[in-house]
Amino acid sequence: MTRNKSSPSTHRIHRKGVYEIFTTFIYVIIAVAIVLLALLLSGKITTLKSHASEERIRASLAKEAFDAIVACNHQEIMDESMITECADTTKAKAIMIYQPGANGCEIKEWGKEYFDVVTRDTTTEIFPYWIGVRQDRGNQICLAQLRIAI
Amino acid sequence: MSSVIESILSAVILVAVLIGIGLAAASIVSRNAVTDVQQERSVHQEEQTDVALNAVLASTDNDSGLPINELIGYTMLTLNTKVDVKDKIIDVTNITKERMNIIYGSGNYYMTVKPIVKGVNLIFIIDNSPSMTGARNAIATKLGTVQTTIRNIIASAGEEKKVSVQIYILPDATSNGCDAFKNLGLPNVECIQLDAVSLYEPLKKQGWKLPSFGLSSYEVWRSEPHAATTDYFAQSDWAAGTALAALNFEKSPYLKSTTSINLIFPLSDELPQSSKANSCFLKTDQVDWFMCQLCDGTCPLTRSRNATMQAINITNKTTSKVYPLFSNNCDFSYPNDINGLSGSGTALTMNGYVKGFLDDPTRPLASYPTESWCKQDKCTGCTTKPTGDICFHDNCKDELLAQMQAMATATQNPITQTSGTVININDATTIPDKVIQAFSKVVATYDFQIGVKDETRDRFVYEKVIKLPNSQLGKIIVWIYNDKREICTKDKACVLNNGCDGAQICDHGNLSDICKQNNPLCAGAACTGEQLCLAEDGCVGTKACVSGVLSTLCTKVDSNCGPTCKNDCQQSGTSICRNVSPTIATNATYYCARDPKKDTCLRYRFFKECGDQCNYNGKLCYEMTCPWDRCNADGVCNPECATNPYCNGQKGINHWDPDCPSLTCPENCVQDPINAAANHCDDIAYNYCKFPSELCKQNSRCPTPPNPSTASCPGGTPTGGSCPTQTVWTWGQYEDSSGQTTCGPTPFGACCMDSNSPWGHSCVAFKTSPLNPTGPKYAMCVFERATMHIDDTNYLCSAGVLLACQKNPICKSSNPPTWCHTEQVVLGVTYVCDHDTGIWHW
Repeated sequence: MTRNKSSPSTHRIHRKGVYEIFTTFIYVIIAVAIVLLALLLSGKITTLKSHASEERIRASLAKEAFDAIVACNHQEIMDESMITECADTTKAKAIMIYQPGANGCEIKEWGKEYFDVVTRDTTTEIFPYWIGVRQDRGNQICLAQLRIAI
Repeated sequence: MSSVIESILSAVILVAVLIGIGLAAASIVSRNAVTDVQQERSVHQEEQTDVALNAVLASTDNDSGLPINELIGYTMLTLNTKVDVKDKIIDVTNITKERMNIIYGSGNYYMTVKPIVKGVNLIFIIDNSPSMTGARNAIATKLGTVQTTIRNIIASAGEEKKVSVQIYILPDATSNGCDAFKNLGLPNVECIQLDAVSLYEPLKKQGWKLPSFGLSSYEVWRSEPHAATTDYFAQSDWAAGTALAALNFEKSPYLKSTTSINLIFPLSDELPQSSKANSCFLKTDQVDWFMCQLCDGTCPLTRSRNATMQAINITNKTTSKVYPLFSNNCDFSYPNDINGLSGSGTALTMNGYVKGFLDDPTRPLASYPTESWCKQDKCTGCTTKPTGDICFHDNCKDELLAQMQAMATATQNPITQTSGTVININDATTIPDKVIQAFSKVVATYDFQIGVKDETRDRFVYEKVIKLPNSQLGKIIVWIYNDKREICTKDKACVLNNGCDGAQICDHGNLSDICKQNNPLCAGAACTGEQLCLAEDGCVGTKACVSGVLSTLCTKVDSNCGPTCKNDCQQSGTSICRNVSPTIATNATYYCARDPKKDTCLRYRFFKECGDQCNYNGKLCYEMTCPWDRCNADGVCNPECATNPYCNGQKGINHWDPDCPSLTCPENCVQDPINAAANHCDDIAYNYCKFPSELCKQNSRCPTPPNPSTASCPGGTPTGGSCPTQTVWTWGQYEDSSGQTTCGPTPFGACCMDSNSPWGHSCVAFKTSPLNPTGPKYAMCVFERATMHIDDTNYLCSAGVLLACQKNPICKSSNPPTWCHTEQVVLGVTYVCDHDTGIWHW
């Protein structure tokens, strides 16, 4: 009785086919993984760059607003009128001044209520700058914080 | 099989290589992105820090009124972090720290201030007398060591700079004082031999006055014969030498091109311009001169103090710091006999002056001197030590020390710019070491540091160069730590467990964790539940009741409530934004008004109408509805007055007469006192017309004054004198209330001389309104409130004083108020007030 055996060469061919399928499968998996990884990295970097760009734009706008206010306010008198006269010329969403009241200076706030309204918007970012504020056209200069909402 | 494995392996290797390349590329790109972000943050942080530091430096100190920048400059000049301004000691580190704490919080930064040292200049002022030989040699021997040591001190502070030395040798006959400093082979060492001319001529240009030795002036002394030469007082004039050195340094290119520390070390054992008595400089005989300088112990206080004060005045205006070297150590070996003083060995003549120092002037010459002259009781200008060395004018040493101290420390204040200390020299060989010590203190004693220095914390470093008041430079270095703690700006309200109100104290940016009870007597009240309240922004809130204690904190019920216009300002115009709770009594209401420049709701302004109509109670309000001049004491707005058609279209105002009992408009509106002149009213307080002098009638207009060109005097000519013809006033003349007849303008160009006047020629005077004293003058009778009336073109005064005739129906009542004037008799004439017209009739 003769058993119908496959020849060794046929057997090798069969095994080879399995390996090729397996190899192809590995290739596909790796290719997909690489594509996914590339997409992930690309997305992360894009997000990072986007954040950097946004941060740069906001910071730049804030500094521009600060410089514009300082340039506008020649007398260094910071009060309500300064906010309406100078701050409205900037691209800031809102501006307020807070004088903490130390070293003989009074606690003062200008423009707070409108500022509070605007900054409820969660997309708004606040940039604080410390400035010297001349008191009532006198010689005393107090520390105050110019808050710029962008 | 192996080929399959090879295939797989090759694929894996290929993939690994690709992944590696991909990761590397991604890493580079992401690193660049991160770097960009960090750089951006760094730039922004640097800008913010620069702005904040500028604000701190520009802010003023409350006590002195000076900006911090200037105060820090003074600390560098005086090398002391506490400065004296207007008799107040100001701790500059403390006030700077307070401001930095406000900005960054006390634990979040470190700041240090250092003067920028571009170089060090040491100047020695040394007299060339024999007694200073040891000191000169000691300085010369160790000069190289001094330079090297000081250079190393500066280098340790991170500065590699030049150390220069100048030696000024005061005038002397030998002019060999620089010999000791020749051939030292040291860099940047210069020795300058002064004579009297080179010492004093530059100082004379600064107003320096030379001594007169008790005579009327230096020039008188110079014109008289005397044994002393000019150089004799110049050879120990360390004060003049100091002033000259300070002046020269100030003019030198070295100072202008760099920022340097200049230390001056005057070295002496005598008072400035010598410790020799004034009388010695008047001796004409050489023996007398030598004997006098040795034995006359009178200290020339006035002369030396003048020199010191002049030197201080000059040095104060420079940047130099003075460290006098007090060297009165009596270490000089001097000839015992007076022959040695002459320097020639010739026996000196014992004349009357010399004998006067001896206890017996009649003793024969042979008996003198048998021992040191300085041991003679009467010879008080010198003393002898057991070693045989002598002290010159040892009795002046206290004065010398005092004057050196004055030079060093009397100028230690922020306005003047020298400072230093007197260095006591007991041993000449120690001078170089003491100079080094003095410089070390200059650098080490100035310690301007605030905040917390922690090199282990991640930080942002910022450096700033500031200019000092004397044009020198200083460097400020600030570390701002990235791991910042929260900064508070004010106390935070809190509630204790017992229900009492408290506050977390904000101390220099640090919020305390402890809730401190506000009222120590609070131990719980009898509230049973929360109470409604009105928050600051007008929203409804509640006060909590904890353990029977009612909180003072009003917490909003609706956290979204507030002065917001966000939801209700979609359209143009004004709309009500939010209302407060109807259960709370308030007149506060919020409105939105569209900002014409912007087109979004977020740009809308809001206005709060609160307080009363006059804004008395509404300090947060932006507008009030009532003009200030119509606000009454109750905060209610009075009605607006009607326009008075007879007063040049001016509106009347509410009655300004305090006597007026009624404020009803418009009946009691009177003419506007501010525009009274336009209304031709005269004395505003009594509503007089300019012309004639009668009451300015309500709702009527005063008569227009006559045209000057048509007026004339009785008889056509003026009386009582003549006036210049070239003016329109030539025919005007009046006599004022003091009786002076004066040519001058009458306001209406009329001749006021009126023989019919009961007051003769004094019927008219010029007056200004009491409400407008600087305003124009106008005519009225010299006796106030006498009436002036017109008869044709002549002005007539009816003498007497009439009170106001009120136009007021109330005065006609059966029981008129006391302020009503109904009838008055003046000079026998009875005047009756017509209260309908406000005019007196007689």
